[in-house]
Formats: sequence, structure tokens, C-alpha cells
Amino acid sequence: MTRVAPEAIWVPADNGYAVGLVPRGPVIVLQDSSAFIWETLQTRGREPFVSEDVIDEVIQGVLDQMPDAPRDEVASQTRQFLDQLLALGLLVLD
Amino acid sequence: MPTLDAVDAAPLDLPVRVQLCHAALQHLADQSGLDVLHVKGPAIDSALTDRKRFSTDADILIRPSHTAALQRTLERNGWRLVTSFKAGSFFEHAANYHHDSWGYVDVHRRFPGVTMHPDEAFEELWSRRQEMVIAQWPCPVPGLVDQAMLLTLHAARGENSPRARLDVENAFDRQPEDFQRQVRDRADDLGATLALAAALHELDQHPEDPMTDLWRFYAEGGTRADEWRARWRAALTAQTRARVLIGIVWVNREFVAMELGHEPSSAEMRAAFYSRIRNAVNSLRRNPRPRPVHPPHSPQDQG
Repeated sequence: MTRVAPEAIWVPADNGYAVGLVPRGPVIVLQDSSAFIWETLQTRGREPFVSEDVIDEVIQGVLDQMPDAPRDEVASQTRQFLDQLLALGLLVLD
Repeated sequence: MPTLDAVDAAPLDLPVRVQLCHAALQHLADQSGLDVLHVKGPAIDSALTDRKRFSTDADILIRPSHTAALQRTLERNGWRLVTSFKAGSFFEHAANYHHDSWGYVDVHRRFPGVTMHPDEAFEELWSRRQEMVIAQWPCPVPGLVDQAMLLTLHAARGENSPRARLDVENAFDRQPEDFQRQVRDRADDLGATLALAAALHELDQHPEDPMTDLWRFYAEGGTRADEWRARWRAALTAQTRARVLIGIVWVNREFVAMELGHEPSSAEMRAAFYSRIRNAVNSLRRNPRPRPVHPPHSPQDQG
């Protein structure tokens, strides 16, 4: 299962999304398309637990918004971004 | 498609950091079973603010009996004490902490102007609490009338600054008459009548109260000498008067450390002490008499 870390807090900011992990941080700012992906993710992952293929779902969501973009590149960049969120603990794989 | 530089450092706006700070604090409070009310800044209902008002730190009111537990929790989780309760203000009401990710928080153990016993006052506020989502986290906040009262009481210490005037305008002056009456009633219930009068420029209705001059100083500003004279008049016992005198010359180690950027040495503390005395004497010389704006107090209150 994949879920947005219940400890993640976030605020829309002028330059993207400020996201932090409680109780200790860090706080990062997701910018440009990464903020868009985060929004997609948190919208789809609003329930504490989401479907197992949530990452694929998010990738598809991004692709739907950018049909003209090269699919492989979008998928690769999105997965890379989600990996970064996983590494930071902002996403949790159960 | 732009590169996904997700974790690149980017400037974090202060209002954003303050919101995150509130949520982070509530998370800690939830974990530790501590009762916290979020006050001021992003915890203010939109009906009471024009949102042009940004806080530079988060403000919370802790149930007084939970204060020590909250301090331990903060220190275990990367918060560093900047200003202790004792060093903070005349009221010794708030301690300030800093966290590298979340920024600054003022932890209030009571609210200046509320004279009801802090435990009872907190329980009163807690019993009418609401919930506000800050940074996607549910945070308890005082009820709307209590928020208006606290904001107005806070403005009473604003020395008539534009920000304080704006707060009173939004939280009280612009509100319907019935709401204003509820705020006044609530202030009476919590023993905050005098402080509310200070914020509303109605102190002349309380000429006999020994705290009137002090609240006038906080509401309207004045010199250091005015402040100490008002503190002296407000201190009615030998013990509290002694504390006023100590306060005049007492050097706050935390402030000196902040000014110097390092922990002060004994010599630096001595230098700060002598400087404090010089400033106090000079201030009294420049302002030899209290401003003659109030009716006299009873003989024991004359300083």
C-alpha cells in the first residue's frame, strides 16, 4: 500500500507547496511541476490508505494534464520525484 | 516539462512557515496528550482580521498544568529555548522557542490582562474552543468571541501602534453591537475588564485601579521611566515592589546572548549590568516626573 505520510503537513505557497514532516521537519518547497504532482498526489491520496497502484495513478494523472509531453520523460521524472518524496518520508510505502 | 527539482532549497515565506509551525506544534501536542489553543496569526477567524496581518511566529496557549510537559516535548524534538517565561515580559506570560525547520513559537501559559486564575481561565477558553485546519492539520482555537477578546487584549499592549489599532478595528470596532457586548461580557467574566478598557481607550473609567497607569503605558506607550513608575504603582506589596526594583537593573542573559551572538562571559554580563544602570539613571533624569494625566492613587501607591 502507498499513502501520503500522515505526518506530512503542507501549505500552498507563492512558489509552490511548502511541505514538512512532523515532528522534526525538514521543510521543502516543491516548485513548478513538482508542486503540480504533489497536488495530484494529495488529492488522490486524501484517504489515509489509497490503492496499491497510486503511483501509476499519479503518473497517469500528470500525463492526462500534459498530453503533448513525451510520455517516457514525464513518467520518468514523476517517478523520480515520487522517489524523492519516499526518501524524505513524505510518502509511505506500507 | 520543467525539471523536477523537488528538494532544491527554495525561499520559504514567513507566513507559510508560521502555518507549518502551528501544525507541527499541534502534532506534538496530540502525541503527548497536551491541551493547546492556537491564538493570533493564522489561528484568527477571517471574520476578525483583514489578513494583511502576518505573524512572525506561532502563538499558542498551553493549559497551565501542561506547561512543563510541553517544554520537555519541545526540547526533545529539536526546539531551543530563546527566551524563558521569566525573561520574557513583566507578565512572565510567554516563553519563546526556535526550531530550524518550523521557526519561532511563543508558548503562552497565561494571557496578559486576564486576571482570573490561569487554570480556570484556560478551562473557560477550552470549553468554548473551535477547530481550525492549519497546514492540513486540525488545530483547536478559542471560540469566536474569545478570539476577538484575546486579540483586543493583545492590542492593549501594542503601545498604540498602527498594527494594534488595526487589530482593535477589525476584532472589535467593526463588529456588530451585540458581538461587542459579548466580548465585553466575556472580558468581565475572565477578569479582563481593565485590559479591555486599555485597548478601547476607556481607562479614564477606572481611575482608582492601581494597574491603570501600567495599562495606559502599554496601550499608549511612553518612556522607560514611565513604565517603571507605572510598575511601581501597580506593585502593592513589599515583595512585588522589590521585584520591580530588581527588574530595573536586572540583566537578561538571553537578550545579551542574542545581541552578542554568543553566550556572554562574566565580563560581558558585568558590562551589560553597568550599561543597564546607566540607562536607567539617564532615563529617570530625562523624565524626572510622571506625566500628570491621572488622578492620584491612594497614599500607599505613590512611588
